[in-house]
Amino acid sequence: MLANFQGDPECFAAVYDAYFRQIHRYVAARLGLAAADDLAAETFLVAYRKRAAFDPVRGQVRPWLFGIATNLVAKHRRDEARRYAALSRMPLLPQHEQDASQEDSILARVSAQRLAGRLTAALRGLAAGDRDVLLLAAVAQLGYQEIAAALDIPAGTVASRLSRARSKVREALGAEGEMEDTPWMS
Amino acid sequence: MDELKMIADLLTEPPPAEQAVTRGRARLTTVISTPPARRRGHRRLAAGIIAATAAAAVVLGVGLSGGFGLAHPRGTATIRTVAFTLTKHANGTATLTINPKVLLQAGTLQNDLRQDGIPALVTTRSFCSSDPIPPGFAQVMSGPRGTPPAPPTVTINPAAMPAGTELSFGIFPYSSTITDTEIELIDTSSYACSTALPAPPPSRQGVMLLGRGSGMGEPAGS
Repeated sequence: MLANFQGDPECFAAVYDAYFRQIHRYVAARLGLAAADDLAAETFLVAYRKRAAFDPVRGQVRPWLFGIATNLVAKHRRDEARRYAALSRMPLLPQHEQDASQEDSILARVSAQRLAGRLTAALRGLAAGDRDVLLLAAVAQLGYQEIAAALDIPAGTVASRLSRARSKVREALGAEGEMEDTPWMS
Repeated sequence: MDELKMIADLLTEPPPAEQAVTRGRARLTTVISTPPARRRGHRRLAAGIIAATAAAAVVLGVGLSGGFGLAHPRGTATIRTVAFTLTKHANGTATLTINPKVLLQAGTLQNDLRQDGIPALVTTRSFCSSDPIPPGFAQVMSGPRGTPPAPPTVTINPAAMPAGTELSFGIFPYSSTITDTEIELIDTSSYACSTALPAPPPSRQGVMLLGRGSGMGEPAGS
C-alpha cells in the first residue's frame, strides 16, 4: 500500500499514519515538542509535493521522510542550539533512577547534570553533517544504508561521519562517561 | 559506553498529543483532496463568494479604526493582541473581539481560546467542518455586540458546547487589510478540512462569519 502512493495520492495518508510518530519523535528530539507538531506535519506536506521525486530503487519511504525532516530541521539551527543549551541545565534521568532513594537520586542527578552538559556541548560542537548522521542513528535508529539514503550521501561517508561524531562525544564525556554506574545506563 | 543511547535518553520527548496527530493529518488530507488548479484559484473564488454575500445578516460590523493595544501579560482575565482581544468573564463565557485589519495568527488564537477553556481548532486559508454540523451553535455563540465602526465581537459560552465538539475557526485573508473568519461547531471525531471557502452562511445553519461588511445580525440558527 505504501509503495502505491505515487500512483494513488489517497494512499499517502497511509504513509502519514505509518510514520508520523517516528518523524515527530526525531524532530522533537532536535527542536522540542512545540516545533515538532508543525515540522513533522510539514515533513509530510513536503513529501507529498515531492512524491514524484521519490525513487524506490534508492531507498525506502522511511529514510526518505527522515531526509526531508532533516532538511527542515536544518532551517532551525539556532533553535536546536538553544534546545541543547536548555537541556544542559535539565538532566533527564531514566524513570528507574527517578524512583531511587533520595540520596541516590541526588547523586545521580548531580552526575547526570554534568553528563548532560558535556553531551549537549558535544552535540553543539559537531559539524552539522556529523550531527545529522549521529542523531539519525541515535534517535531515528536508522542503519548506515538508510542514513545514506536519507541524506543522499555514500554509505562510506556515513560511516566516517558517525565514527568521528561518536569519538568527539566520547572525548567530551571523558572518564566520567565510562563509569559503570552512570545514570544514563539502564 | 553507549553514547548513542545516552543521546537518545537525553533528547527523547513524550509522543505527540493525539490532537497534533489529527491536525497534521487534516492538513495533509486538505492538500491531497484539493486539486492544484483549485488551490491556485482559491483566493479569487473566496473573494467572489464573500463579496456577493457581504451584506448577509450574519456578517458582523467591522471597525476600520483599529485601536488595539499591545499584548498584556498572560494570566489576566483579558488577553489583548493587535489581532484580537479575548476576555474571560466570571460566568464562564468569553468575549472575542477581532481586528479585521490584522491577520490572525491561528496558533496564537487557538492556544488562547483553549487557555480560556474553549476547545477550538483554528486554521488559516482553510476551514474544517463536520457533516452534519453538530447542533447547539446558537447557544454557544451570541453577538454581535457594539455598532459599526466597532470591531466585530462575539460572546462564546463553552459550557453550552455539546460533548465531543470544538469551535472551528477558518481565517481567510484576502487582502492586506481585510480578513474574514468563519466559525462553526465541529464534531471532533468526524470532520474534514478544505481550502475551499464554505457556502455562504445564509444557506447553512450554525455558522457565523466575522469579517468585512456593514451588516449586523445574529448567527444563523442551530
